Amino acid sequence: MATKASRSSARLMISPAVILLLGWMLVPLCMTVYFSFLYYNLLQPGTTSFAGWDNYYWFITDPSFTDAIKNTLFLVAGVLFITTIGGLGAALLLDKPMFGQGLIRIMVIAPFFVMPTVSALVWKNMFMNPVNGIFGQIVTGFGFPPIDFFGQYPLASITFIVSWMWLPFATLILLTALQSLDQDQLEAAEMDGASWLNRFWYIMLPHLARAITVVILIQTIFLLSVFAEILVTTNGGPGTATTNLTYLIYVSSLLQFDVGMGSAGGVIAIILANIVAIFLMRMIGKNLDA
Amino acid sequence: MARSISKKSKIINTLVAGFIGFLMFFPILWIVVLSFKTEENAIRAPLEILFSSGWTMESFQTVQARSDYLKHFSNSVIISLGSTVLALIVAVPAAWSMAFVPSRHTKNVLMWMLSTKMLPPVGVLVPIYLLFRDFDLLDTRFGLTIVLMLINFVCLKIKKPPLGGLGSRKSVAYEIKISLV
Repeated sequence: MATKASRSSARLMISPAVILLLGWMLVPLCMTVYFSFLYYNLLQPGTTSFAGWDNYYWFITDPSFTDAIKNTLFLVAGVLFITTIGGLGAALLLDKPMFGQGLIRIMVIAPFFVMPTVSALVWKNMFMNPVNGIFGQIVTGFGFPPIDFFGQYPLASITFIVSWMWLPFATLILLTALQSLDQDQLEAAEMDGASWLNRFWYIMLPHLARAITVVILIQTIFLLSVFAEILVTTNGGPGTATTNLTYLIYVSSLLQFDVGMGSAGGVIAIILANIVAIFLMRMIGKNLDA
Repeated sequence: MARSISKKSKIINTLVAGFIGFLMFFPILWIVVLSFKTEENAIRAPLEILFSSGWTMESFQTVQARSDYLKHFSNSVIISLGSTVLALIVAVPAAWSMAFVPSRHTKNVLMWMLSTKMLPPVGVLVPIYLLFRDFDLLDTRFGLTIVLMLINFVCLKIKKPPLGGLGSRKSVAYEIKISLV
């Protein structure tokens, strides 16, 4: 259907995006790779020299690196699990007829519009603080000792906060997908005697497959680089209990001014993200075709 | 055609969904409530805060006086609007060409663009910091706007195959961007 003219105009339209993105990606990427092979500390100007693989060696053998990998994986997997399952449940619920539907939907979706720093602060000071927080006060009201969330369960607390922020996103996408499902199909299945579980498993879930992959893909991209929540609540601590890869690189390059080390970390982060990306791309690639 | 639904099940749905909605919304509600309290009242027990302490606008005056709130707010607005507009200018033509004149390479290009989105920002943090330092863009609104534009415009390109629904997908991407900023 595409004519020669429309094809050339299409090429014209797409080229600014491609060129900008290519430049944006290649220039800093090459610089990162280059710096990662240098001894380069901003506190000692004029002393850059070739370092070989030293930066990589020290970055990987640093004990906080293994911790950071584990924390990153835990955070991503935990939040994905909670938001996908929870979002599916919320979407199924919100799809049902009810009074005040608009208001309830807005209330469920509201956390999505709160900035990460703000929501982290709110949870930290008003809910999870052992003395002033609401959770603490409720628990002491019943006569138990309050829980110091960020002291005892730092990573789980952050996972919880991030989940709260991303649940609305999953709900929103899944709800939209659910609404595009043909009601006649469901009705026909019901008349044929299919139970709710069967209808869910054989009709709704396959219909939602694409939406679920979109949710997982987009969330993974953002969750791999969660930063503000950690900076605001725990500063990566106690110890390295909540340091994820992003935070570790921030610490080594901008707090310790070690550009070489930070770059090596960046390259490693890119490689790891690509490993995740390959799997996701396979999945999404199939779903984008349809 | 919608089927008739008994009033009872509708009420139950409303109660369950309303309860969940309230739980999700509660932290936001709570900020609003606390913002009308004095600092000393804000850390009392929840029920005391609600029913036995006065309401005040004091905090709003303090925040403006102490930190020039409006200036920071206008920074946010300029950066988010600016980067969104710039991103749209670049992304809409590209999305058009992908959706209406797809070629053999469209899928690959799309995949590549998505994959750049997976590049962890920290991976290129250092070079951008140094580039900005050398070009005097550090701490300027313009610099931030450019960065956000380049980071974000890929969001728009989550293409939906047939014609319908392109708009809705775009608006979702748009919302993502707003929340990012």
